Amino acid sequence: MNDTKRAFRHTILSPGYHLFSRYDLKNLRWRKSERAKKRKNIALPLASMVDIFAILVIFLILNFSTTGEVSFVNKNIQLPQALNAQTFRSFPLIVVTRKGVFLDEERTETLSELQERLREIQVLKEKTDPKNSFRGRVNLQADKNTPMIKVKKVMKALVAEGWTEIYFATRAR
Amino acid sequence: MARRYSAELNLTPFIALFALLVGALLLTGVWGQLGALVSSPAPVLDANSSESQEERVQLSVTVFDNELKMFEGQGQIDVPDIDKKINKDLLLKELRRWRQFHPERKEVVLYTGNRTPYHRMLAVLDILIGEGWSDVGVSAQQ
Repeated sequence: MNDTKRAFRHTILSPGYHLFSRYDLKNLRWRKSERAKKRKNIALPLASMVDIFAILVIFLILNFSTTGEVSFVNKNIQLPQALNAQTFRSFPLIVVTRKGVFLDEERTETLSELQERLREIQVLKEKTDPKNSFRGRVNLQADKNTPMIKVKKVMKALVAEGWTEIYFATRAR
Repeated sequence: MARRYSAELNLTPFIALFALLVGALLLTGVWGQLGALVSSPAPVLDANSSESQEERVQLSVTVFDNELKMFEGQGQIDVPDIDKKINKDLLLKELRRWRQFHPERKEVVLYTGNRTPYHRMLAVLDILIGEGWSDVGVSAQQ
């Protein structure tokens, strides 16, 4: 045996790393080695994270608006869309749904109750803001498939109390 | 021998600022833009009053479930729907004809059928406002 080994000592090598060099995982081998253990400072690659943040910030700045949504849309209603809508402004909000008529998110049982509460709002407005005369402006939200008879009943009650400037809420197209 | 300097930027405050900005912008973002179409009070015309006898022609549009009717004084034009949608081309054509005859007018009265869906009324109101008829009175007459 020893004779054989001696005879082929230039061709028989002690076993080393077994994978072919073509498929060698040099980086893995390096990490497993002692050299990698010595290096303690591991830096996270933050460039991609900064990129994501930058894109997010730009997108959100583009979506930012100081006007528009000043009231919540009832989840049970789907507003119609309009091309020529004005900016939505803050006036008393009347919502016509299947469950009834709501004034500023509080349900009114009858139209006379709605009128009563509108009178209270009018009195309050005249007391708190006597310089500006009452113009009877009100926002109205209704589902796009609501029959007009329901809307007209509410409108009639509004007009009877002097709330004649009705702003029909729409989704901007 | 030249000293080696670390050329890496300290990104921690940068990321902290971005995180704050993202949070603030998410909270204040407007995700659904609301608008409003305004209607003026509709004039109530009494057939016996002297106003209705004046030369001033009343322009009105009545919105039904499947058609529109446009009234110019005594004249009437029907605008039937196409594929269950408002015939916008014909409506615009007639509105532009009205504009030729009444260039100074801005008021139109909008009537609706009781069972007409709300979105049809708003679609016509939107078209009227877009065509410069800014003083549209929506009638509450049932």
